[in-house]
Amino acid sequence: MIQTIGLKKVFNTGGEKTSVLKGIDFSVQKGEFVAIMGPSGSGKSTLLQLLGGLDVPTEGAIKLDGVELQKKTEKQRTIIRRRKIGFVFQSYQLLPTLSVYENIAFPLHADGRKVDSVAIHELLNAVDLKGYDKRFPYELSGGQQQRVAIARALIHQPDILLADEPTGNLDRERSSDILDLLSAFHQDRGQTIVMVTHDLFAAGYADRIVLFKDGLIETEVQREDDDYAEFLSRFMA
Amino acid sequence: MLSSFLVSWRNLTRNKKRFFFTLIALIIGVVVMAGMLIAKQTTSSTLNHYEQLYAGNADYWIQSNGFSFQESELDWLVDREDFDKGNAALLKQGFVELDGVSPAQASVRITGVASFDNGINELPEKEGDVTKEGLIITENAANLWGKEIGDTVIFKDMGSMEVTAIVYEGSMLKSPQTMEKAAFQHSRVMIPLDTLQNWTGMEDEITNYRFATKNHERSDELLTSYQAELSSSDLYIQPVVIDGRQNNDMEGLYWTFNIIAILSVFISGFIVFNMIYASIIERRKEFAVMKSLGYTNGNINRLVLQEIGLLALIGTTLALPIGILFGGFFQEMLMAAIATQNITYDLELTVPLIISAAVGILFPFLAAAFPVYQAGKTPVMEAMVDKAAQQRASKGGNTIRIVAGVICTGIGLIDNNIAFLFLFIGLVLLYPLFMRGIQSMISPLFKWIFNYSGKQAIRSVKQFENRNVNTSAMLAIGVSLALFMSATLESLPDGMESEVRSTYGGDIHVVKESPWQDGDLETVEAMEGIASAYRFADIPNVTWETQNEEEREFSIMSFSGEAEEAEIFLITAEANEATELATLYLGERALAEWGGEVGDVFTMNTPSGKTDFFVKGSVQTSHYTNYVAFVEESTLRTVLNWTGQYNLAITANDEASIPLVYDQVWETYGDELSNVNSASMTVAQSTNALTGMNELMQGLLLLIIVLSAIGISNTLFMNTLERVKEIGTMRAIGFTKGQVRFMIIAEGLIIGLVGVIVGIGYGILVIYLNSQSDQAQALLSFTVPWTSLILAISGGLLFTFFASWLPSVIASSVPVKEAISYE
Amino acid sequence: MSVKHSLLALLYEKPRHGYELKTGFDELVESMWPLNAGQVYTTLDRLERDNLVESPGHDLKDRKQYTITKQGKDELWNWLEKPVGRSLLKDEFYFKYLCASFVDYKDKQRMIQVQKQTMMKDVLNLTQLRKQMNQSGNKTMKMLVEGALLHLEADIKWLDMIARD
Ligand SMILES: Nc1ncnc2c1ncn2[C@@H]1O[C@H](COP(=O)(O)OP(=O)(O)O)[C@@H](O)[C@H]1O
Ligand SMILES: [Mg+2]
Repeated sequence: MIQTIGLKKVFNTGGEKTSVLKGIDFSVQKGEFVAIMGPSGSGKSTLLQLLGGLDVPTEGAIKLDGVELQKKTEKQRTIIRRRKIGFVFQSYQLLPTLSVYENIAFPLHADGRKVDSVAIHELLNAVDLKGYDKRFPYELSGGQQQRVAIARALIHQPDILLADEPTGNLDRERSSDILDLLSAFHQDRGQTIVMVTHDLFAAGYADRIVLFKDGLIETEVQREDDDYAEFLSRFMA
Repeated sequence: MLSSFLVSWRNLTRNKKRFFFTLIALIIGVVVMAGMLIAKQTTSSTLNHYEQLYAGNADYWIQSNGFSFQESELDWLVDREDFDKGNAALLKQGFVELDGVSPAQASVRITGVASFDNGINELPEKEGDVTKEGLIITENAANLWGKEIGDTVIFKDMGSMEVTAIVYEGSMLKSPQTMEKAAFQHSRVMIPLDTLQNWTGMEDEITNYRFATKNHERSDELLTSYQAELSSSDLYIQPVVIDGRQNNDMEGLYWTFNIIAILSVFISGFIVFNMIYASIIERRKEFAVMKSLGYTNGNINRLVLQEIGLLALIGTTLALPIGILFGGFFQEMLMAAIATQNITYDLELTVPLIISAAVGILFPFLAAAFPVYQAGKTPVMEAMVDKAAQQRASKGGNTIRIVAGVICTGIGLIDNNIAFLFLFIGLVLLYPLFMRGIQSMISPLFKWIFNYSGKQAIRSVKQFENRNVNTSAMLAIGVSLALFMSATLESLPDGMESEVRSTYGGDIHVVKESPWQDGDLETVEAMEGIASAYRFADIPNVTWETQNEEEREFSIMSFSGEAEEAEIFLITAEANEATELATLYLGERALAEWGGEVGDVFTMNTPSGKTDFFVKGSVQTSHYTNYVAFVEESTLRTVLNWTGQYNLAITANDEASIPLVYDQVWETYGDELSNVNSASMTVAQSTNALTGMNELMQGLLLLIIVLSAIGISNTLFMNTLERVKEIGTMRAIGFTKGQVRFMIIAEGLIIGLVGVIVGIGYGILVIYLNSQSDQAQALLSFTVPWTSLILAISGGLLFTFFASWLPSVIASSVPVKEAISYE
Repeated sequence: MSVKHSLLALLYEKPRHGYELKTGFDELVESMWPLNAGQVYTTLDRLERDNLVESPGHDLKDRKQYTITKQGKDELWNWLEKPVGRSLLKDEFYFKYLCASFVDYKDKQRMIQVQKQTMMKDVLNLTQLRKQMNQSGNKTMKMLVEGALLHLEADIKWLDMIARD
């Protein structure tokens, strides 16, 4: 579904070059739930942004369904993004002046698609926010806001959901809610999910965990692997 | 101290773009203001300077009620103790020998002066030596005649003389620029008095005598004693008074300059307000922390005020030199528009710069007052927990605003100049209402053109309603003023033509060097194409004092018969009382300048000395910009000691015979005519001047629209800056750069369109009110200035579009990654 | 721990015979606590002796039925009502840590690391279990898992703390 080949990213800040990604070969199959873990500053978010077409790599390729994202113009990438990719961020990023309903409808509007109000209400039910459609973001708690963000990321039925530390701002209980929600979408609807996290509790939900260190993939573990837990715990410890 | 300023500087420049925009706004405001003040000051002082030049260093001058008098009649004067020095002059008409030109074009007015270098007359020297006895001509005459220093000019039937100096155009000597103009205006040159007396056989004859007193003493007693000396003669004395009001009416222009200066400072103040407000809201949390650490409101105010002071200082310092440049440039344009000749001038800088600097330093503080107050008021805890700064629009405040707006608008409908101001205060107060109304009307259009971006734009206009409303109101005021002014200028010529014709008196006015005798009148009336002719007097250089004791000078024109039937004015107000005193009618401007009322007593220095008149009424006239008085013919001799009538008003059979009349008059009296003028020429001159003004006004109004556009740009910029995170999110979840750009441009266009629509509405309202106004009705009819209307709409939208462009580019290039990852 | 009380709880719901009690128990704990039939019967005997349960007789297949007595119900309520204290040294790893310090155990760091790994493994397993509970809809069990995860979170934090010591 999505694949990166020799992905490198170098940032230029004030003449100083920081190599953030140093050659990432990584792929996600349809229906997978992948977690990316690693210490802060190891380039996880950068990778996610590249996957979502928010930025282009310095070197290497990103193939989304065979389309090479890095070869597309910014506008083409935006259009691909709003059709195939859903984004969830650590700080929710709801649009403050839009109601819950309008926030969820935004990606459809942006793409000039017809807004399916039944679908929006269905999603609102799914994220347990029935009857909240007319509320505004500031009237919601953090966990509720993140659930709206998830609904917004899924309204256009993206092929892949990219979540950057979706539970980073939440306490354990709300985190569990959000993770339950994500894993429900994964299990019930076969939603492909790539989630960045540094939280072991969150990573435990994934089928596969990719471990990042200093801009490189240190290792990957599949849930089926015998030493899944063993390996991971050793890495994290 | 130094380090605290360093901290201020760091705070100011924390957001580079914002600092830059604020500075630009401040600079533009001060630059425009300085430019306007410089133009106003320079124009008025230049006009004054030229009048001054004409007056020279004399304190008093003596003339005769005849054309000339014997210099020996003044022997008593030279012997007086208070006499310092004097200069005699004789004025004569003549013709220059030129090939292929009509007599009118070749006509010159020659001034013979006794002394070239005793300092009583001063001339703006260009080439040669003005103190050397010889022929002095002006720059225009030199060009027209093709003469240089040392060339000889021949005066028909008189003699010839070498050009010894060429001077710039001025009040004393001036010449037409082109041969076309020369047909209606003569050149004026200067030669030695004795030469002119020789040429014309007028030994010892002079027309006037200017003199200076010892220590330039001037007093009522002195004047009275001079008047006593002359009481039994044909001579009379006047103080030399510099007053150009008869020749030009600059008040309207100055008023416009003031309005533009105020408006520009206002708009830029508003921009600065925006910036400071945004920055203070941004730093609320910081202030709260400071307060929690023991800072008082006073400490915080001082902190902010110091930053503003620094900003104001930097802005003003940068603005003043640019203001000088702009003022110079603008002055040049202005002179090109209003002056009929090359005028040299020095920019008047001191006062305008002091005022601009003071305003430039002070207005940022005024603009900051409200935000600073707000900052001080913030409860510590609320800011610390950083509740989303929800703008709680208080319903109560809104109602008060609307009620106040309606009341102000009501007052604004009253027919009064100051009440007009309330109309605009009402506009600002009612603006949120207009904005919402128009917005809901145009929103389908925007949604249709800009799709979802348009819808988002409408939403964000609401999000920052206060700021957007104020910006749009600014534009609306600019546009309505623009429309009003150009409507005024457009309808003025029509009004002016009929006004000039209705009070001109005949078709042609001819001024001769000697009084028109009965025989002359018969001769003229017998000429072909002439229906009728009558004589009147125009006594020049009548001096008086305003109620504020400023010395003034104008002239008195005469009419015969009933005032109601006079051809040269229309009575606008009249007193009923009977009086023993002689009566006169004052032009409205003269009355206003004087400060008295109809029915009061008005005292003047006339050819018969100090004389009291009863002001019988006020009048409107096309003569001397309404700065003139009218008396009945019989008063001339009995009260004013004025015997001759040098002016003749001729009515032609029809328009077509006017040229014929012209030719015949020149034929017969050419060597004696000192001035010929016609209603048509007066109309043409006034209209021409207006056309030049019209263009200048349109330029200035464009400037206002540009300033408002900068305001819009700034507002959008602020709106964008406060939404970086949101815009980043929009980009991340599906908006293309194009859609973001569309959104911002649509926001700008909403602000602009509402501004233009309301501006046009108010503009037309003001034009209508003005046309209904008793005060201005005579001149202004209700016309919709279509050109300006279209200019306002297209200009407003175009500038708004450009104004939105930069913010839209900035918004669309918001780095998505940073925006979504910033907390 | 308290097999006794869980059997009382199952009997409180309805009368059961021995085998039914075993399957009922497995269901209750989602088979996460292996309990053999012998254990069930010895416990039942003890309960009958203490008059907490009684047998009204045998069913058609000749299996001995049990019901809860009034005394049994009182015992169940008493047990539910009584709060559970937490004893500092009941946690075995605490005790190990105490003893390791006492004997100046060389590999104390390693001991801590291994413990942490074990706990992390538990986290991952419990997380999976939680996912399963989500699907099966067993809310009570899910809460237990949640509780365990919270404990683990705290424990891991504590391990990090003593590892730095
Ligand atoms: N736009 C940028 N310019 C310069 N450096 C950047 C930029 N974005 C990220 N970085 C750097 O790249 C590194 C990796 O960042 P990031 O991908 O956000 O890490 P993570 O999400 O794993 O914590 C960090 O050191 C960060 O400072
Ligand atoms: Mg990150």
